Amino acid sequence: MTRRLALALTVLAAGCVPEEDPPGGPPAPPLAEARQAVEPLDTPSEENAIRFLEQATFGPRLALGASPAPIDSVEHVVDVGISVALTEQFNAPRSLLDGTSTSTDLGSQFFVNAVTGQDQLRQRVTFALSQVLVASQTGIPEVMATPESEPKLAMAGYLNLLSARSFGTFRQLLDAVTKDPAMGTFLDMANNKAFKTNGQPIEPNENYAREMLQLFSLGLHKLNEDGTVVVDNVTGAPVPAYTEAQVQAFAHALSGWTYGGAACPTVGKSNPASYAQPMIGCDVNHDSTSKVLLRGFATTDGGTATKHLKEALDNVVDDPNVPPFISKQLIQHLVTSNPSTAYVQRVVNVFKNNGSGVRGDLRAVVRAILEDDEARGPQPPLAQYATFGHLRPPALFITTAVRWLNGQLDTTAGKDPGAKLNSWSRSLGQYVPRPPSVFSYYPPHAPAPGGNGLLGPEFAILDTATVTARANFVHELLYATSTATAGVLIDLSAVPTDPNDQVLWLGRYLLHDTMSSDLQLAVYNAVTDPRAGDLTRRKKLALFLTSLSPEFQIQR
Amino acid sequence: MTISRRKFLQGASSTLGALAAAATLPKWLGSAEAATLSGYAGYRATVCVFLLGGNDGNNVIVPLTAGPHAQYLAARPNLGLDQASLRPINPVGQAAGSYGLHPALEKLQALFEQERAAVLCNVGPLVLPMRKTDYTSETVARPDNLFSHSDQQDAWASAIANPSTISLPLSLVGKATGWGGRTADKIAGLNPGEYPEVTSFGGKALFAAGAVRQPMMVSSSGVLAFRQTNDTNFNTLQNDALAQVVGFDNDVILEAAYGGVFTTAQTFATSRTTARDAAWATLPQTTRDAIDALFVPPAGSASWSLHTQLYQALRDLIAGAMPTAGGGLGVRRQVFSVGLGGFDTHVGQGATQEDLLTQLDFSLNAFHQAMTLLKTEGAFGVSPPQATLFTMSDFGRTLLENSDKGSDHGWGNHAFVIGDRVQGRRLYGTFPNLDLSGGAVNNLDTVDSKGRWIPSLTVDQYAYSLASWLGLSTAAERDYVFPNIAGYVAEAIAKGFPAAARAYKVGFLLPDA
Repeated sequence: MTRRLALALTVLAAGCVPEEDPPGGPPAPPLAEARQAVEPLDTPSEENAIRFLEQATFGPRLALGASPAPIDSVEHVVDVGISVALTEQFNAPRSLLDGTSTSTDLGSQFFVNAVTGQDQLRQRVTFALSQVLVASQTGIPEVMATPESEPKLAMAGYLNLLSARSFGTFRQLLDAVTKDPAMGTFLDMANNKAFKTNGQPIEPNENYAREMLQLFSLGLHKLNEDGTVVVDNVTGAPVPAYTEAQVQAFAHALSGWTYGGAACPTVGKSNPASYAQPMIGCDVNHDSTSKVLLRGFATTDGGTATKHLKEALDNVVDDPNVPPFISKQLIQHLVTSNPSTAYVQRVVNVFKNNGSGVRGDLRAVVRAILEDDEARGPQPPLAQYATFGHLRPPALFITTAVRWLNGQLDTTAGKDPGAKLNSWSRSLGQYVPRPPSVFSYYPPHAPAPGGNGLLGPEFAILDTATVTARANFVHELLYATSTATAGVLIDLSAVPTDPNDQVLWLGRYLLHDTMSSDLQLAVYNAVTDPRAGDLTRRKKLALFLTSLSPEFQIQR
Repeated sequence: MTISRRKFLQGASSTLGALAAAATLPKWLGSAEAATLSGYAGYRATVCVFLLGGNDGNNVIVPLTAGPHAQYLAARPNLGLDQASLRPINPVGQAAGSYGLHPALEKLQALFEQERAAVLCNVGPLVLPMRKTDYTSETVARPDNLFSHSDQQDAWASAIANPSTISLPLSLVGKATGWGGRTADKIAGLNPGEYPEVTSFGGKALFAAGAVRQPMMVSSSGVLAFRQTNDTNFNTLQNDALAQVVGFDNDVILEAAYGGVFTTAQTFATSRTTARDAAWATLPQTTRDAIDALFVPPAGSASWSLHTQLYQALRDLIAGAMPTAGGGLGVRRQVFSVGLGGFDTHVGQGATQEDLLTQLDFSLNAFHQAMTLLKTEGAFGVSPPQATLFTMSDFGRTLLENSDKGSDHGWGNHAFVIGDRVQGRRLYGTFPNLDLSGGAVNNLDTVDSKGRWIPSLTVDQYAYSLASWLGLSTAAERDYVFPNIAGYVAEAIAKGFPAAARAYKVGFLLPDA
């Protein structure tokens, strides 16, 4: 069937009118009749397996005869099914970042792990979490007097923490994040004292309290369980999720923490920065009075810094806003910018209770996201044809292109291919792990231009400069010697040389069999143009056009 | 049978004829009706300098008179600047030396005294004019999410303080637009051709986005160009095919959104680069050297970025203002956006802000001096290019310092405007009362005990003054770009607010002859 279509393309593209009926049997039924069968999770089609790998990894790859097939390869997922592939991913050995001064830059390590690591799903979820619970390497000061690089050491610790906790509970994650010294420095949770050195009370810094509520747990507005915003019946305005007074109450409840050390400092003082251990709660700098937090809960009067932190985080995580706020963002990062309310609700149900009474079990949440009917199947749900998908964020666009082309990273002889990948990502607007602020690289509520209210978070960093950089990345990857010189090695041998086969290969794999006829013909016509040149350059031209096409840029 | 195969078959017979058609044309033609060049027949630009993170205006301009300065120091025992270190200024209508600028603002002090710079005091996002009782009793709508970085940056960039409740005209519904972009929607007709009115090298992207007009976004290096191979024929093939391919959106909304941005970049990247190079070459070598010298930063500036952005903006300005005969674009009105981050000084504010303000001082002055050089360049004819620099920031910061020798998120803030057409050496708006004693319960300018100022001027008044200078003229245009301003002014009149609140514009720009 596939081959017959290819031949038909040749005939048509040559400008001849076929004398027979178009091949392919009777005319296709109208769209409405094309019912989409839900595929069983254990027997996915190849298209479905590719879509799964786009959502769960840093890009699908082909086994290309390797035996056994890697667990993140298309062939393997077709073989074992979605549920088993997920279990394998949950159990894959964890990739770590090395924060010591002799290692390469963390961004470089991130890309090497993303392209070559086995724990693809863990890395993918960690990357998503790092864009929700945001710390940035640019926000950690370098202490010149010490031999180590504080920003690197701190961020390696923070990102390793996220990856260690990415399949645990959200409560554990938020606890670890709150006590983490990188976060402590980034958002001033560290050394947030309630007293001056003379013992007089002073207003604690609100920074961590505010961002923790606004960005890490609740969001600005009260949410329904399906992710929609609660609006006031009378004014029509969104209902705030918390008040200014509650921000200040949390700032007091979380006061008194400083960097780990042998002991707590005296009143009004701080321990020196230390990134090798969690922060410690010091009652001498903590406001022990009772504060009213969310939903009328009052902290224990006379409580310690540790007790109040526990009470505060329990209070936050129990809030009904947390499941939809976190679940929807994870769906947006992994699957689609505009999930249906029913999809959000289904995932929220799992967030609230994993089936064993546990709230915020991220492993169960991730499984629910990726096994959902809205994510699975050979193509997006037809009812959501116009609105499904998300713009590939820079890092994922880059790793996906490299992984489809059997990318190998050569780190011998001082080459630093990860740095090359991160330099591209930087030019596309995503300099890992250095989001410009606590609002990350792009916010979850950014609209898509011309989308009439449709969300397109990644579009917040798509502009004429970064879209040009997307094209220039692909151009350099394919055509320039600087790519291989940097140790990024791609292999075009899997791409067929025959123009028909080439177009069909690109459609079958890069677009999981959804390549539009417009794109097929445009690519075919380009590669068969005499100016296209030799066979290798034709392959590159076909890849260039396909990877920059809107239907590839929007992961669906 | 999958949808792709079916579409492939159907498309194969129907789209062949269309393949030769040119690339999809930009879909965003301007909608100018009445915007006018009458203010100035030559070239004009506004340059938005966004200070990201919330610049602490309370340390930018400080009262030097004894009483207010003592109140200031009482709230800021660590952060406060002593009288001797501040750079005195002599605003028109105030006692001599009644205010001082931050010690880092040496060049701005000089520009202020030369009447080329002015300060807008306590300006910020508002929906309606507001007194302290209105805020406390919540009887007047507050801006959405005060004290939140992203929301307040958006409020400044959009000049819409209440996005969650405002009723927008249909043409703006479902779109994220800024006041720079909406101004472009209305003044597009003043420029020949389709070149984007707004060019951004940094700052807030939202500021630059219009409902119909889309901006040129350029990296701070100034370069926007597509890589090519060394085979010209192949490049033509590939560029043409790419232009065609990015137009295929398959009726998928996000695909169309991506394709639209790509088409803008591909359409205008080359004309921009060509005009920049040609217009620059049209200037005498001595002028070019003098401009370049202005932007050579002092020692210790390795991490600076604002001066390079402003240099690139200047190069684009020269390209825009240069007549086509001189190789330029020959446009009449442009808006530029640049940005500088790092102002979120919760901890250890002193040295951090000083470094940032030093960079700001150098960069703004370099741009202004370069504009002064261009005034006498014959290549622009009898009407030399004019530019007004203006600052925006997320919010001001608490006057009361926090426990980390820093300050927290506030509201109203002080802003600079600079340029040859600025009515300088003046303070506009009302400087806030700095007395926080007794929990500031009797201070009508702050919402709480920490010194977060209720703005005396709105962002809308500030922004409309600049947009009007560019050519925005009719009330309909004004109300499209600034949907809250008419209601604000009407309410200020009805409730007897001070004169500054009852006017659409702030008079910091010299009247046109």
